[in-house]
Amino acid sequence: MIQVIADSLALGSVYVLFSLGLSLSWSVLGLLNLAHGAQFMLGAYFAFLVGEHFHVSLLIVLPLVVVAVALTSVIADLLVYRRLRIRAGTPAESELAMLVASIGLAAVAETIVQNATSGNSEFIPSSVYGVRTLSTGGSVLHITNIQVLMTIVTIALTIAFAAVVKWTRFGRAMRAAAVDPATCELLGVNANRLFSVTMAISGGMAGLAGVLLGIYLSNVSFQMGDPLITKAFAVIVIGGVGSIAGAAIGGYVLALAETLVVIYGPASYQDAISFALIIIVLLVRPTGLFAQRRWQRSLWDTSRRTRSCSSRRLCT
Amino acid sequence: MGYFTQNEVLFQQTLVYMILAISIQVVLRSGVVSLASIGFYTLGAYAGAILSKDGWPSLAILVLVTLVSGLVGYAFGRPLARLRGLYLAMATLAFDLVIPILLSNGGSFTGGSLGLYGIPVSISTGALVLIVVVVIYVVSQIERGWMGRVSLALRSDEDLARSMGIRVSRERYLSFAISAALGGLAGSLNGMLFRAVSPSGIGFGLITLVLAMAIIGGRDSWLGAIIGAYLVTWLPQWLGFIGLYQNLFFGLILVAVMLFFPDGLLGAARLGVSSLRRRQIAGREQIPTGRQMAT
Repeated sequence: MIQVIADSLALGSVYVLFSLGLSLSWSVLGLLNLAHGAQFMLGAYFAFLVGEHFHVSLLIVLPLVVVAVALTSVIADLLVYRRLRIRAGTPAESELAMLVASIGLAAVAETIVQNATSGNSEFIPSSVYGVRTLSTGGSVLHITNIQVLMTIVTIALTIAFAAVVKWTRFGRAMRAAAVDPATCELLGVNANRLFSVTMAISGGMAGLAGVLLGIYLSNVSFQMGDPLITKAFAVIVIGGVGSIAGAAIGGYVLALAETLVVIYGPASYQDAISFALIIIVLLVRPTGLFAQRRWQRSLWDTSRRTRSCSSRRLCT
Repeated sequence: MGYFTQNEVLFQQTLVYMILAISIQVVLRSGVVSLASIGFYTLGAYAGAILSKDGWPSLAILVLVTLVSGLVGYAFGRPLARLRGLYLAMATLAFDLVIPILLSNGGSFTGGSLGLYGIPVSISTGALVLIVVVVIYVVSQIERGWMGRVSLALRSDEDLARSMGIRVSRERYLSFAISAALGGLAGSLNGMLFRAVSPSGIGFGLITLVLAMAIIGGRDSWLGAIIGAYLVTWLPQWLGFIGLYQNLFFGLILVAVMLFFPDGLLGAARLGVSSLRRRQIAGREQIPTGRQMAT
């Protein structure tokens, strides 16, 4: 049982980091970033490349990769998303344009890596980043140091991020921009810069999740991000868009459910859990299990103004 | 004729993709991002394959799959129509991606992860052309008629449309149903034409491809979807050198179209024609052009 908990903590940490990033760009920019999975994969691939050519410690590689992937996000925002946002007449139009563009960008990144790896999955030997089994509990328990690292980093980052969003000026500006960027500009917030920074944070989280999972599973392939997208959907649907606590709880719950299915149930249905969750929650309780307001996702109530504001907000 | 027989499979693929692209374009046109018809395409392909293995007549399969997909789409449309914007995109994407998982767990009925092989080819290219023509006719009539104008109204201002007495939710269900029916039809044709169906081809790759078709041509009209499907299917053929980089190419095209021609090639062409006409009139009658009038 402790083994189950340890494994789901590690897996759940990846889900939490990944979903937080996806949920962040959605709630602040209105961007359902389908390139998020590709960025996750880029993170893992960068770690593989560095590990293949240099011998460096994980503590140096982690920040390096995070910055590199965050940069891809900023570039995408400057070259593509910002222009689409500015040109679009209504929020709905900009959402559609950015969604389609993100699918295109995902295809670009995945094809590059696919050709670089000849479509194979690459192997990161556990010796490269010093992954080893911790000697606890004898032969029954199998916990590696990377699992411990994943869990600690994720929990610390989530708490830190929640604190930033809740208590700092930057966090306040971010929450305000999620509701109404135009008014934010009037109040002296540079919304475009804020959006780029948000994209950087979101991309950095995807990259971090990618490195950690890549090293944990010692395996990198160009399609590894695709299943993560749908898992993050499930996490976001459970927790509610823009909710940090919701993403954290959702990520660990999903990981626990999946681990239990692999052990006790038909393992091939592992990936179906998240889809089932998405469909059931959206049909039965479209506001998410932890959402406070009923109208957040529903079409029916109130005027367009409240709708467009309320549907994208960030809370801790 | 030699050219045709040489490329017959590609022609068939183009025709099937035309229906699939129209199925997405129908909902995109009303400003709704629903990708559900790709899921119906997958289900339809399996249904077509299984039924034609059982020896059903092809016309019966087509009618049955199209009707059932439409009905299921209508039923799905009820709860889905409540979801707005990105939630709908997410839910339908999840629907598209869960189906291959269910199919690969389906045992001998669906052939597991290998899919089904040795399906008898039960439809000719001529019949396929006929079906596409019928679909285009129906869709173009819908587009020209009341429902087409309603869906444009829904896209530009839903509240206004509602205040004009348009039953927004009913229009939503209907467009979901049409989209699902067309997706199912395209799928069943796919199942009956290409001898094999497998769950591996369904994923983000297919979704990218179909969205590219619906958007490159222009999502305002069925003609855009036709042009898009044609281009996307034939470009790899014309540009042999892009080879493995095909998806990168489509990705870049998608981004470029969103950036520079949000209404697709058709929209760009219309813009070009209207500005040309304006210039001609301006040259003849010395009246100010539209841009000057606007300032």
